[in-house]
Amino acid sequence: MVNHPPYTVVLTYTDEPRQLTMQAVDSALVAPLIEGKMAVPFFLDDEEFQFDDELARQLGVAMLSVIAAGRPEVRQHLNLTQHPIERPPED
Amino acid sequence: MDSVGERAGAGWIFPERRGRRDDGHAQRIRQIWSQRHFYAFSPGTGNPIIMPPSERDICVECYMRWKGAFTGKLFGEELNDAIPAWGETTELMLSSQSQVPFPVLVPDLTSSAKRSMLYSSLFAANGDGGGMVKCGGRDAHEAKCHDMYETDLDARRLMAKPRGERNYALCKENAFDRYQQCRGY
Repeated sequence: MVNHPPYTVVLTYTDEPRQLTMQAVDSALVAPLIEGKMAVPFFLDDEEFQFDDELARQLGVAMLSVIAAGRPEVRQHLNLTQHPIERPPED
Repeated sequence: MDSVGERAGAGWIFPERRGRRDDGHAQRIRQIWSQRHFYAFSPGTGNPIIMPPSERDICVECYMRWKGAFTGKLFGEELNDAIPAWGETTELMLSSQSQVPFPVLVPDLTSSAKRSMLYSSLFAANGDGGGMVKCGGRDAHEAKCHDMYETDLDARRLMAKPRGERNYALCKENAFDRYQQCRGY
C-alpha cells in the first residue's frame, strides 16, 4: 500500500521543451516558500465543499490563465470560458 | 485606513500663522505625523526634526509641511493660495515650487537667475538642496506597493473569476488589504 503525504501541486510551463508539467510536492516542504504570498480561496465560507466536473474546469481555467499571464506564447493558445458555465458573467 | 477626509482641511499647514495653535490642534498634528512614523519631534520646542538620511523615507505631505515652514513664517501672508491640498501630488509639487524661499531672499537677481536657483534647489542630485529628491524614498515605496497591488489584482482576476463574481469581489477586498498593509496602514 502506497503512502501519500498531503501534496501541494505545482504546475509549471517550460519553453525548452515546450511542456506543461505537474509536480506533486510534499506540502510541508512548500509551506515556507508560500508563506505570506497572495492566496485565493476557492470555496467561500458558506459554500458546499464539492468537487465536480465544473469545479475541476474552473480550477483548470484559473491555473492555465495564470500561467499564460506571464507567457504571451501560451496566451495565444488559450481558448477557455472565463466564467462559471451555468452562470453567465454578471457584468 | 488612513482617513484622508480628516486631513482634508488645509488649515493646519501653517497653524501658527492662522492663530490656531491650541493644544488640541497641535496634538492632532503630532498624532497624525507620529502615526505615519516619518518624523521625530524635538522634546523642547515640539518642532519636527529631520530624520537621518537612511530614514528619510518621509511622506510627501509631511516633507512639504516641514520644507515650507520657514517660508511660511517669513512670507506667510503671501502664501494664502499656495497652501497645498492633501493627497494631491500635483498640487503639492506646485506649491512646493512657490514656497521655496531662495528667489524671494535675493530680490536683486534677474528672473532667469532666480529660476535657475529655484530649479537647482528643487532638483539637486544629492545633498540637502533637493526637495523633490528627498521625497523619492517614500514615492518609490508607494509606487512599489501600487505595482504589487496591480499585479495582485490581475492575478486574482485570473484565479477567482472562473469561480464567479462573488469570489472575485471578496478577492479584490483582500488585495486592497494587502495594499494598505504594504503602505503601512
